[in-house]
Amino acid sequence: MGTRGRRWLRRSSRRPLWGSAILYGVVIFWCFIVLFPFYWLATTSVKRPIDVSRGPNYIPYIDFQPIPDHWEEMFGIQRESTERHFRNSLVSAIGSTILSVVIGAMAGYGLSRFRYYWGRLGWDNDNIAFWIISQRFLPPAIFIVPFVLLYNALSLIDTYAGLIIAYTMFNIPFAVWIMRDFFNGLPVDLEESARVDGATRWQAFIRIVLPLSAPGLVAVAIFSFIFAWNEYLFALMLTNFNAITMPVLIAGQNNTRGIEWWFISALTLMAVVPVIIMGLLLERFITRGLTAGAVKG
Amino acid sequence: MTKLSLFVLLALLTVAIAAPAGAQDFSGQTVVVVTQTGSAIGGPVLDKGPIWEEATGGNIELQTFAFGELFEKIVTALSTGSGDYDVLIYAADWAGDIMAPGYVMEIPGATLNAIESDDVIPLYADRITTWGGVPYALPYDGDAHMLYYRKDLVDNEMYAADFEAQYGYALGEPATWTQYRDIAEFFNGMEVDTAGSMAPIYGALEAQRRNAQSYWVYLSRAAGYGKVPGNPCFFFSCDDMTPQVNNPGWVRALEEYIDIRNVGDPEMINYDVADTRTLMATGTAVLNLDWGDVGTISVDENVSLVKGAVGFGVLPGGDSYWDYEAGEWVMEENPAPFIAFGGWIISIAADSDVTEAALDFASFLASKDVVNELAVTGGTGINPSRFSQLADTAPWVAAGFDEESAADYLDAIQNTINHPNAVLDIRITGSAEYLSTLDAEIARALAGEISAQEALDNVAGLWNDITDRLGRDAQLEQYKAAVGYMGDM
Amino acid sequence: MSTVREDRIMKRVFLSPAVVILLALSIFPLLWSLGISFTDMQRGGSTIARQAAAEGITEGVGFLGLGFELTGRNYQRLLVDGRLHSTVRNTMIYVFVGVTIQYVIGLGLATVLNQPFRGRNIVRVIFLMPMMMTPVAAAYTGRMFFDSNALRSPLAHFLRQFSKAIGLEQAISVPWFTDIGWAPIAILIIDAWQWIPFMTLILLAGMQAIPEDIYEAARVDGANVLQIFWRVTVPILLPISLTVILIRGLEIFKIIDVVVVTTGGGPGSATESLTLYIFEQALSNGNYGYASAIAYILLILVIIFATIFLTVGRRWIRGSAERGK
Repeated sequence: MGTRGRRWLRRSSRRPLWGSAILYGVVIFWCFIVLFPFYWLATTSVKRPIDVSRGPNYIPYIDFQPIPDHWEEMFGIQRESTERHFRNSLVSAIGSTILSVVIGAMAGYGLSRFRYYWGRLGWDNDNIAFWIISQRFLPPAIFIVPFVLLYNALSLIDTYAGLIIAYTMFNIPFAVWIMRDFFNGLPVDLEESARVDGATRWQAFIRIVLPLSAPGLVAVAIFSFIFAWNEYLFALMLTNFNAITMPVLIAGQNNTRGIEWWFISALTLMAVVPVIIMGLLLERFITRGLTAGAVKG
Repeated sequence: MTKLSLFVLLALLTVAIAAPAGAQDFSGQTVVVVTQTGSAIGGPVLDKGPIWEEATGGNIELQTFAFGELFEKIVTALSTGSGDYDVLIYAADWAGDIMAPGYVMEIPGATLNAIESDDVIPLYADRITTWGGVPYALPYDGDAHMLYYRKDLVDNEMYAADFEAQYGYALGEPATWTQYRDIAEFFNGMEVDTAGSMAPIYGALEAQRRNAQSYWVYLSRAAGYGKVPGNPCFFFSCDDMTPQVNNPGWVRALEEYIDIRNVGDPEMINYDVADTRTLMATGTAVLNLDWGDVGTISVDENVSLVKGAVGFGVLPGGDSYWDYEAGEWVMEENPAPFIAFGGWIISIAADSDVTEAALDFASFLASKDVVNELAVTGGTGINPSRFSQLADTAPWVAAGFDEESAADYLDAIQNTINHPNAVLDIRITGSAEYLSTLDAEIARALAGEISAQEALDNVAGLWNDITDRLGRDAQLEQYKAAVGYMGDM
Repeated sequence: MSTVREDRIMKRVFLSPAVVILLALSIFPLLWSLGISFTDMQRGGSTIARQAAAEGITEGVGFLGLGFELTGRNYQRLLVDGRLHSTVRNTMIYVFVGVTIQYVIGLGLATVLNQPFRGRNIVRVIFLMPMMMTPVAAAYTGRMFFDSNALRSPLAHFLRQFSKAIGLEQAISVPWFTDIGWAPIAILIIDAWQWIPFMTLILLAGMQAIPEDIYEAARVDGANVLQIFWRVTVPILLPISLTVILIRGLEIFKIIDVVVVTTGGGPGSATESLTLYIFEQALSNGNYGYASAIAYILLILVIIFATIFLTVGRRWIRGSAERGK
């Protein structure tokens, strides 16, 4: 890190003034593009309806008088519904994230360390890996009809298990992909010396390999979580009441009395905050995990 | 924590004991109600739910979806037998997909007595809430499309002379779509006084947004040109289910529906009813068609700038109509009000595990007292469906109408519902699909992608496909039953 | 236990869970829906079963008495369904235009983030934020901004003030969601806002993996900044670029949430996507057979896209590698 930092410093000192101006200009412009919608959501969630339709009003206390009513309503009369959707999102996202990471890491490790040969298909490791990854790219629309029928037959409609299984299925290919590349980049010496010392394959995997793979695991976990947390199509299709998630709640705010922007804004902020906090805490892992994995293509 | 739950338990017990005689005890039972999002229709469940909870010890949970998703959620949940929903509050028009397959339970006579069903207008009590003569739902809301106009302008002498000079007849409540357009054209862009300020006004305001129930507005127009007096079969011929949707009457209606944007708010192509009724109340247009809601919204001082300035009327008719059996235009005025949608109704899912409690809550919500209160309250989405609501202007005046407006409003509703030439919805299995294909194609015509004739030809083709897929004979039987077709008379 | 024998067991243990899940939830449904696409199945039975029921027959109808009929009708209908054709066209526009916009801007931003500057770490997190919003919410946010009413939308308000400032008679007003030309653009912008961060993230990771001495060598040869970008950065990033473009391209094939929330597919059929159409056919109309047939068309499109892309991409990479020598 040290030498690298110095190198940047050197390069930056070479940068002409106009270069810096353009650089900061672009950065500030894009930060505005990204942040202003969030700001707008935040202010809208405390505006009176009339301030939303007769505006636009930008700055609280100057352009309009903020009110806490919408948040109060969300945690008051709507509390039961808000909590239920939020809890369901949390359970299905965390559940599927754990499963994806575990199953993905196992398969990734297998594909990285063993040699497979599926004689009947003539597939070796690369073919199997490609097959698994290619599942990620199947259009979900093709699963709509069979999933409704299958889940119905298995009574999985409107259950946590149903959502978790579906999301795990969608996340596994990506997890396998990242983890396999990550393990490929880890030297095998450590495991081998552990096994010479009498550790089993499984023990070596758990005690030696996994701790070294934290960045990859975290990257997989974040992507799996974000996918499951934000997923709309299958949540809408497979849940009715008990397992229904936040995106469905947000999408449902369109009604015959007009769109209640203030509730949508509040709900959106509620849905996005956990992810942003997670992103802030784990951001450095994302790049590191991906650099080892996806980057190699 | 324990203390709190103990307290709650005690409180519940006390309430259960103190509950009025006759109220059943449903402690520990949870009734899941599903309906559309927002304060309209679903709002009263949240407002009135606690009263019922207190009386019975039961628990009400509300699940809502956007209107566009509601049908598919209800039907999927019911058809998979998930038992997730107990009480369904849904569009009467979906009866063919909800009542016909037996997804909902028959309403017992005792419940019908409890809600005083003899007070309910027969259109709702005997037709809209029943299937094959069996009641499967409780009436909750009454719905029919009506005409709204700015009477302070249309009935104003200031404009009468100009209008008559220009169009050759007197300005007043329009009786035909041609007059409706003339009035819209006359006022469009004119500076008029609205709540004390002078501003240009649009001629007409109609919902045209795709995927937002705008097809009801189009159907209201099509009724005037396509409904044949004395023949109840409007959407299909009752001989062989031939779709009438692309006959010259329907095409003319679509052309005029497209054209109205030229003398109205050009943004209307992206407005749904929610937008148009809010805008109508803020005085941006002279003419509008909608369900009864505009009436109550227009007298709500918090949102309305046109309180007391709105006139109510039966929908305009055609100045002529297409007789599809004879294959010719008949040059007669043809008022044919459209009982669009038929209102929201309440059913109990047959796979519910708390049917008793669900039924009890439903009958509470549909009871005369509750419904009558909701009907006069703006924003509940509940419109009159009972004689008692129409008999007396007093509650309407109490809710903010002036005496004259109240009488005018109730008249318009009664004249619509009781009109001999009124048109009922499709109301057969697959109605949602028939209407969504209509919606998609008229949206294309509105956007100028294809012509009105092409759009409706497409619809006719698609309707034939749907009918064949669902079984033509079965569909024909249902349609005849739905419109009360008695064979050749 | 010998390690060889242990490994023979363990290698199955490691791979099986993933394979079993994919077989059960991906391959099996895939084959099943292929089967359904050749039947007249629909919600609550099949055409033939309904007809039979209307005539009072309840058992043993249809193909092998299973209660449905084998038919190629669904595939015939694909050919004449005008609405389907416009949804295919719209989806293709989303994929090709969307990917291009997102890649170009994403590459630009990654280049910027690869420069050293004060506050880089916090900026990097800020740039990622849109990705964390659920697409449904991003779409609603987009709707607030692309509302053409200057009383509600800050963007429309800005355009009006702007046109006033430069002295235009008629204020600029863009009919974002009401015009068949603009509506797809609005949707493209919303999707781009949300997913440019993904492009930036991966491309940035790729740039940081480029060793400094390659740049050094180029500089010694006297190349300027632009030349270095075109001759060094872009070629080295080519493989990873192809990967992200492929990922995003295939993701955009799935677009539904943004369309549902913003336009519902309108005005006309200008914004309806294939996934939305399939969803409507399957769940609103309950027409399982036809929905499955369309889904297979989507699958074929996706496979064609991926294959062409991979073939052309590999050739490019080889070409640039040779030129590099």
